[in-house]
Amino acid sequence: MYNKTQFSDQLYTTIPARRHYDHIVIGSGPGGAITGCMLAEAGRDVLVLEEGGYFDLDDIEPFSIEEMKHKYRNGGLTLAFGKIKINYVEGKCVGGGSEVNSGLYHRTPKDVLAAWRNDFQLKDADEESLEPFFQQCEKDVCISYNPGVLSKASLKLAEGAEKKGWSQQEVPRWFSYSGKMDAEGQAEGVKMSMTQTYLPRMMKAGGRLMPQTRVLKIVQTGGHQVIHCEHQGQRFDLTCKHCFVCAGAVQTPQILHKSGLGKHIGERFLLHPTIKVTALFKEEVNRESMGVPVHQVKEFAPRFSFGCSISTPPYLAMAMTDHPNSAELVNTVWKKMAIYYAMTNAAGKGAVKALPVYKDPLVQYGITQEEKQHLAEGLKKLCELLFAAGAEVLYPSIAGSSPLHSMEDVNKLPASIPAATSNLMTIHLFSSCPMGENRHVCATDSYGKLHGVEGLYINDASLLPTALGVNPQGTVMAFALRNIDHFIKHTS
Amino acid sequence: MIRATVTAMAWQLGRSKGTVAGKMPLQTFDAETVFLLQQMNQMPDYLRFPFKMVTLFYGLHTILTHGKPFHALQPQQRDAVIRKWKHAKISFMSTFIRFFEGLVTVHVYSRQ
Repeated sequence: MYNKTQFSDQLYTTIPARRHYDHIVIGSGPGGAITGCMLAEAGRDVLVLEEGGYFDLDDIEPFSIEEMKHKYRNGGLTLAFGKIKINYVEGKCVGGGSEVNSGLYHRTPKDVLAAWRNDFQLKDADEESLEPFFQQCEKDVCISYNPGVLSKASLKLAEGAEKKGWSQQEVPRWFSYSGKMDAEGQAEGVKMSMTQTYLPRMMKAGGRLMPQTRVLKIVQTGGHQVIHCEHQGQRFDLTCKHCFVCAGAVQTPQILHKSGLGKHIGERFLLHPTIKVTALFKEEVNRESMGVPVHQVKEFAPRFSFGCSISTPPYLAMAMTDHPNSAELVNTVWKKMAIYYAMTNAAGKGAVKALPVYKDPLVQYGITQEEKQHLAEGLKKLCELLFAAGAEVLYPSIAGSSPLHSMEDVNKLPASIPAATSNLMTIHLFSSCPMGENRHVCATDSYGKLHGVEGLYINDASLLPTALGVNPQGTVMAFALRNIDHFIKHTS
Repeated sequence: MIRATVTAMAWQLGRSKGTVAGKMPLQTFDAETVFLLQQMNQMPDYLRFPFKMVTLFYGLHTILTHGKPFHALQPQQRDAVIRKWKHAKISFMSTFIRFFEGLVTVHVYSRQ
């Protein structure tokens, strides 16, 4: 396993004396890490800037309060405002979202690629053109299925789907399994996040990384980009010929807005609205170090899909705050409880707007009636599945709602989720700066170069023209590889 | 006043969450207070000041209804105020309580 001490020569922990680089990458999440790595391995001069700190994988326990405090932006307290407020989380650390997410991998669905080609005039986005990039990503981050004993909570989802005759699948993760099993049969290994894959490669190839550095704005002057930065309260400038903004679907438009650069920036922000339900089973389905649940039900995709969430006692207790009369169950029978979710594909419209004076952007998402109906229908179907899998009681994340003991109770749920009391969340954010040749809606060309702006590129989840209906990191990585490959081939 | 209100919220909510079967109830909620204050300082900057103002209002409004600020109320009185805000039809009131309740809950259970 890599750790940061192995790369101390390539890490800037203070403001560097050298201020000019050929390429500067803003952000070290999947998009930025891949961009930096490919540039460095192509022999290019590159510096990656990251606003968050550098933590090794074993510095902080996954899915813990410490992770929330140190690796999440705003301590995880980020909201998309609208008729229904949607809580979202973003990674803010070296490696970005790849350090804090579950690592579930999907390729881009075929119908989504077709829509991107048709509606956004996105070039070279057919399956055949993308195949080598997906294959490369899958090799680089060891996409693999869990060879050990899977969590019972996750298997309950598969069991319920099979009983209903609905299609379900085990989803692979970016994870390198060692072949060893613990006493309970769980496979041991290392999560192949960016700090274990592309960032070490980048630094081995001569690239440099500077954590704890916030980019305030970019100014274009004399064919160069001047990057105004802040490192531990001290402001300084860097310059480069080519700048890649890879700060994620919220921060990328924020930086570009603050810089006054680009068109259609932050106008089409999308997310996957998600509602949760906590299930109480007759038998134990949960345990200490339950691991990441890997089953998903796609029977009703793209309208909605289901999965199982991290279900540690703190997460369970928080989920049960919507059901105060039953909250004590977490103290006594948490091993019989697990959290599940229904996620709908984005049909609404969001925006990321820079506010004068403030550092943080205003994030808005207008959920549509259609999405509310899909979530309500998804919640009902999920409940149906969980009862089929043996759940005794279900607790939806709707404040003040009654526990559900049977399908009779489920059928009484409203046809559209209530705006005032539904607690929605998401971890999938994208589409704030779509790519494509359709200049009426796209911020960049088909390879991430800002329309009408020289030397400035985007290469992260912001580029995805629409929602995917599946975990987006595989798509983000494949397109990041494709775009930087195109850049390297077409620039000297 | 903001710190006193946050401390009172941490203790009030913590006491109701802090007993896990088979274990001794938690005796102190200083760690939850620190966590709440840290999280308030981490929230998006445009929300930070308004949230602190709501906290201040919450801490003081009980002078009109109970003759004392929130942190000086008896535990039963604090519970009643929390319940009233939690079930209020005005969304910022219920969101305010949800913020404290969610964070205290997750912190208390992380300590067990």
